[in-house]
Amino acid sequence: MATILICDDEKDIVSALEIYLRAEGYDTAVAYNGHEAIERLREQDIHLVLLDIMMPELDGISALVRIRQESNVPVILLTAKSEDTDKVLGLNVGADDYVTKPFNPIELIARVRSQLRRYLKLGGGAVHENTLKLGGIEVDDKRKTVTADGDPVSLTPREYDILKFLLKHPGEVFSPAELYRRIWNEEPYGAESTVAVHIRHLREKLEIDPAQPRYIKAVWGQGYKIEK
Amino acid sequence: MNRLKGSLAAKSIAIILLAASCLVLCAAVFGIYWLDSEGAYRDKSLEGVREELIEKRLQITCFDLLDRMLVYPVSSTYDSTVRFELLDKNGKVLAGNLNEDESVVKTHIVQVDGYLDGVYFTNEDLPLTTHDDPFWTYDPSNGLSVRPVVTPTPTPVPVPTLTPEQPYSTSVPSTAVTHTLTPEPADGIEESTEAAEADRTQVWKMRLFWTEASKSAETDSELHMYELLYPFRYTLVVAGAVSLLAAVLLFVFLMAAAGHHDASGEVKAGVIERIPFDLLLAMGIVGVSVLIMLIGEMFHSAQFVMSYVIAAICLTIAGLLTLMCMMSAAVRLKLGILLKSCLVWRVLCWGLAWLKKGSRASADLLHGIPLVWKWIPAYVLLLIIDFWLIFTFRRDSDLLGFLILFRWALIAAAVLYVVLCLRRLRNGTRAIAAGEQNVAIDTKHMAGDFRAQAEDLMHIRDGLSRAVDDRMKSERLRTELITNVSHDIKTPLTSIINYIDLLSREELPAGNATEYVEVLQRQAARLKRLTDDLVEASKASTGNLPVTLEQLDLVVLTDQIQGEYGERLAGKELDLIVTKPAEPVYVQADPRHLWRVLDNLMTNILKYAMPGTRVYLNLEYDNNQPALFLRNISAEPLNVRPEELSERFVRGDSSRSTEGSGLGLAIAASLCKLQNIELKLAVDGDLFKVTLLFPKI
Repeated sequence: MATILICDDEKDIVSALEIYLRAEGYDTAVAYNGHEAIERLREQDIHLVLLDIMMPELDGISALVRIRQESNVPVILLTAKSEDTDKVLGLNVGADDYVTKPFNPIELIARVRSQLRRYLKLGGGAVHENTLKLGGIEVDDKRKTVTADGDPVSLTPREYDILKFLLKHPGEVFSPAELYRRIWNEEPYGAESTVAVHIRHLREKLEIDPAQPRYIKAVWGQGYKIEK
Repeated sequence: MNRLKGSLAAKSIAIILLAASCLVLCAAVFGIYWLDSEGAYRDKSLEGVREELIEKRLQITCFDLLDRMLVYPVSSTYDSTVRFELLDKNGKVLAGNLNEDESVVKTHIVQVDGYLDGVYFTNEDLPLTTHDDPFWTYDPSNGLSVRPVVTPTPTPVPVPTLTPEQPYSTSVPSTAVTHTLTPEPADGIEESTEAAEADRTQVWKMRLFWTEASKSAETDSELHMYELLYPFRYTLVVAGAVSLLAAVLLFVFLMAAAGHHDASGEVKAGVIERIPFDLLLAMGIVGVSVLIMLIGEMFHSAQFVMSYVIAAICLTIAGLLTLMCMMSAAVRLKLGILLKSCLVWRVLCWGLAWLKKGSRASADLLHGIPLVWKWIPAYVLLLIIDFWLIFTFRRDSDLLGFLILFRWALIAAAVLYVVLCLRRLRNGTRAIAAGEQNVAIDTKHMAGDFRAQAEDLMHIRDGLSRAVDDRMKSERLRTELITNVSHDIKTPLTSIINYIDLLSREELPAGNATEYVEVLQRQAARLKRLTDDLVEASKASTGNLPVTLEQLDLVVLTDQIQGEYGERLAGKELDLIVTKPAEPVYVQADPRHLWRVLDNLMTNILKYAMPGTRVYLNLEYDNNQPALFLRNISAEPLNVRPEELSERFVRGDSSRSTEGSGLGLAIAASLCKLQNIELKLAVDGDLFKVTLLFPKI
């Protein structure tokens, strides 16, 4: 079973996380500052790190920089800092995901699972010819199946079409009217909001936190796109 | 060296030495000058020099004699000319003014004998037969007597040895000579019986011989001195040079030592330095001149030694006075107060200061007069000038016209100047009113009240910008404080939320425990939202958020709103009715911030709208400005003014029973302001209306 390193200077938070992760069947290791985290990583076989940013002695960002020099283990940053600049900084130095305190335990577990799946199972998986893949999302066009981080997701035909279309054009922004024309193959005539509804459903099915989507993003006032 | 400089004894010795060396120098210079004038340095033997000296003195005596004869005219009735010549024993003419060409009408041969300054003289032709006029009278001051010979007999004068045949043979003691020169009584001179009326010119011929009467006598002190000094003539030069060097060195030392009172090497002002320098200088000059005058007054040939002593004392005092002035000047120069310690300088400074004060005071007075009162005399003056011009040039209409035109040009220039000043003031004021921070009114060519006005405006601008800066700073500090505090709150909050969650998963005892845990969960979640909103509200209200404006299509945005909230509204039995134009409506806004605004507004509607009513979302143009209207019916009576709604922690329901931080509208309002969007809230009974007015592109 996977071992997860929990690194936070607040002992109560560490214990709570241990309880949650053990309940999910993971093994846990514990560190209370950056130096200890790096030591544990050297001593033990760690599959994922939950790393707090504001810690004594060696803070999370510096620890992450050092960890990345040695290993590509998935790291989820865990912090009270919720500013966008902090998130961007964390992701730039090599974090795989970012959770702000106070966190929802269910959401955190979901993110942990997602990262572990990608790290442990999907890393060397063969990609089929008719498979579209982006991040943890896989669309098998032959079997018409969709998986998010390995879990099968059931989509309606329209949702499936929209997802497939966006995956074929990653990074491009499409207005609702444009999407309607492409998917429905007819003029919208006031039915653009239908597209918005479908997109929201897609997000709710594929994203861990639909309010802060990783893949299917809304550009407000312009349209929708799928992140590269 | 400093010790030496500071020592009083050393200075005193130096002063004495200086005085001595100066005396030596004076003496040496005088001696050298005298010796040189007598030819001591011109390669001559002592004997030759002596002869020359004697000869020279003889000449001097002769001319002196001549002078005396002229001073005491020989005759009062005739023009008399006295001719004489001086011969030595060999008959060689030594000196004289005998003019051979002069037609001598009548020659009077006078027998003259006498002794003057070592020269013995007598007449040549003895005896004389005639004499017409009385000869000159006796001069007691000199002991000289020239006596006409009265007797026709060739009897020699009472001095037997004074024949030209043996002039050098006998030395005549001066006392003896003096005796021979004893004046004859007045009756010794007899009136002549003949008077040549026709002869206008009488020439008196006189032959003088000199004897070496004083050769061995001590009467010739000059010669004696010469003989004394002659052997030392080169020593004198050396002595002069040495004393000059010594004097210079001592003077330099004294100047260097001036102001040093101890061994510390520090220059200090003494008592003398308290006297203003120019006063000291004047005192010195007066003192020295008085002393020199004193020397002149006191000098008496009769009291030879005494005179010299007094002169030496006076000169020494004068020298000391001069030295004191110079040393004081040196001290002042070293301290750099030479100019400052002058009375004249101080008076000048005071005068300048007073002048400055006075001019400033009068300028202030002029400034103090109100503008109107300043202009009235100017206007009156203009009127007077006009009247004068018209009166003076009323006959010459051309010139008058020209003058009036010229005056108008001047007035136009003045008006133009005033208008320009006013325009600058106007522009500056407008910029300040518009809130520009870096406004500067150019006061370069402004005068008087315009300049004062401009400067006051600058002060107002400074005060404003300082106030704005202070406020910005305090706002930023507050935001930082709130952010930091919220970070600190979040850490314990995380534990609370997590452990409440864990508690809820435990087997709870029957009863109210489950309900209590639910309350805890709900309130913890509310606390979480509150901290998040607090940070956001504070950032948005202080503008501490990056804003990137992009071109957005509001039509797309309404579609997205409909897509996001349609189902949730329906779940609350709310009917969303959307109207929008067919064409895209482009505006400039930050998509994320704008979405946050709409999210807050829609969340509010979800929370507070009365179930079963309709919600209107209308995209329209209001006076060519794109506008988004949101209308809904409130479930609770809205008993607050709309302005209060967007203020922090004010909520439509004053009971605050429902969830939410009460910051939603405040955040929305602040974010709108950041994007130049106008957010208007209106309450009409239960109708709650929000208007987003976008700027025109």
